[in-house]
Amino acid sequence: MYLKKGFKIFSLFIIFIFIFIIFYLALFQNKKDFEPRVMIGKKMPNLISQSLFDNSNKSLDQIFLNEILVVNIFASWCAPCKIEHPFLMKLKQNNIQIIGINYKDNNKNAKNFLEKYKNPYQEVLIDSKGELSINLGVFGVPETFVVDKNFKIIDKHIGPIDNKFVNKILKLK
Amino acid sequence: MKYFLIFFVIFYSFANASETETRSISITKNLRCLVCEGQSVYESNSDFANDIKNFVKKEIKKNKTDKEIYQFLISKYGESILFNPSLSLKNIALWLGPILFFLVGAFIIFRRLNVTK
Repeated sequence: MYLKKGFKIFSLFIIFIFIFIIFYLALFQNKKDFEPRVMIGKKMPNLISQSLFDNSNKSLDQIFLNEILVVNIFASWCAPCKIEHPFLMKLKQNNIQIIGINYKDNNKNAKNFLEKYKNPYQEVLIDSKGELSINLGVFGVPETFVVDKNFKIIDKHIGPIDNKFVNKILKLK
Repeated sequence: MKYFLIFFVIFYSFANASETETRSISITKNLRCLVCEGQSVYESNSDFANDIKNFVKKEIKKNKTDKEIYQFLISKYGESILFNPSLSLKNIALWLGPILFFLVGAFIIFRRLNVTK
């Protein structure tokens, strides 16, 4: 009888621990559940679009210099993009190639934005309909991708980049 | 004959548009809006959801199958973009968990009923 009661308590304890672990993992561990990171490790899609600067059609592999490349999705209407701007400038000062994808923006506003805050991008491709962004698995601005010498995505940052991210990229150089 | 042709072209384009719309709705209802709280792409009006809606319509017009559209989006956003993810080793607990709990519950009730008899 005692053994049966003991077994019941033990079973309840095991079930409690099991449910606790599931809730713990769901609430505290899987914070990046809806931050798609499936693109990491894949080849960078060869995005083709109009350049913001000279209106000609350009493809990413034409611009790529076979070294670490940073692809940053931005828009002039996006407030966090202003916050990350100094860090992009820091990357540029350290000779990191940065390509901008101008997400659903007005060309004039985008140019004014780059004039006002300075231009960290070697080239800016226009993504007026959000199609380039879907091809990259982007769901908001700003987002930043790091591409290695083999044109492979090695990292992705969701939201404004910071000093930690800049240092990480500089170490890759 | 001329009127018949005009009627046919108009009817065909309407029928085609409505089929695209129906397929687009059924696909976007099964896609999770990744920037919203528990909404589908179909229900949401966020930039992300609108981009995906336009993308799905465009792909349907390119004669892509539902499976091809889902697969493309999964390759870009992962399985989390689906409301109804496919069965895999990673999410087997999610699929089998409820069945397991049901069977355990049924077993306990069955045993209790037998004991009281």
